[in-house]
Amino acid sequence: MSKQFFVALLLFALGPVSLSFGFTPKSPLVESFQKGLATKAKKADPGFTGFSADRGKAFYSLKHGDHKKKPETRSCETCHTSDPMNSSKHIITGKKIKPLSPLVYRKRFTKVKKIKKWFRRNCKWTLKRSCTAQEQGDFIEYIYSL
Amino acid sequence: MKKRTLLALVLVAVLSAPFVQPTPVFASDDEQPGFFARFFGSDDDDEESEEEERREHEEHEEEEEGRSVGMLPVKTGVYSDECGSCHFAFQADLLPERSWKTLLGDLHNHFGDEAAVDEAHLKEITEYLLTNAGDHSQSPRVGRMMSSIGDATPIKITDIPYFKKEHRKIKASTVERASIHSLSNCSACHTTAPEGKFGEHGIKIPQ
Repeated sequence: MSKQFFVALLLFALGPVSLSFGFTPKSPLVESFQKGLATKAKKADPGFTGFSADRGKAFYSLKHGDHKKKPETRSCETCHTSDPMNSSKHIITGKKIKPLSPLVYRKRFTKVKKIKKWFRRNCKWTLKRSCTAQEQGDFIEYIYSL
Repeated sequence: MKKRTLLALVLVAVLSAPFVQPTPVFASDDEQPGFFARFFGSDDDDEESEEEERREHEEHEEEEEGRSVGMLPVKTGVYSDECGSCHFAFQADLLPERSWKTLLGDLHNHFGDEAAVDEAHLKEITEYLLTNAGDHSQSPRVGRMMSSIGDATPIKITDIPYFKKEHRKIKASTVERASIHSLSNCSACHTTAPEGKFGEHGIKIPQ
């Protein structure tokens, strides 16, 4: 068997593996949106040095209580499960939700308009307030770190 | 295989044929008619089922005549995008105009949740829903649904008397299944719901 054939076979076998480890690059639009968030975060907190995926991860599972309607305690996990790579169901309506991770669902976190819209809607649903610039930036950082 | 075994197998197959009927899809085992009921027919709501049969027959004829029986299919667009991402994109003709007006007037408190959309989108959604609302529909089924409402202004489709009547046999325990979750999750059971078809044929109640 020729060496070339063997290499081709190896590449073929490793292809999907390398893909699944491959990272999803942020589009320039998302990058510049995050830059804008960083400016705002710096204004709010002069000690701010940059977004952190770890903080984003903690924020993702942070529980917010005292909602008038069930579920009384809510977090991102309530509808998106503990792993953003999973597809899930809306806790109230039962509607299917595609995974949050752009690694699994390519369209996620690619359009700034949609990112803004969902932060606006879902932050109010979950936290009863808007998310801060830092929270949003950390969240995007976390999602892209997966 | 021996001839005798084969003969016995054929005999069993022939004798059991009347018992093995294709069973329609029921919500769950407990909702299937009993063994004898299959042969003698269930004895509850005979009058109602007669009425239902007549109505289904009518609907069938209406369909044959090419008139639209079902609801308006929801096209992909601002409405399905903005509203259909959290819940089933309910057909515009499932509620009368006055109901949509009330509902859209308070999206900040949408059944207790924040569901506001930006102004340009709200305008487009309002126009779409009001123009195609149930009171402007030609569909006989929508007509029955609207007349069951009377003068009321329901904001929940599940509160409409016609809807309640059509779903009265669905047990609470069935609705509570994770695969269904809520009576407002139309497409969980009505497989053709997105096309506006809520007829018997498209129903498949998941376990």
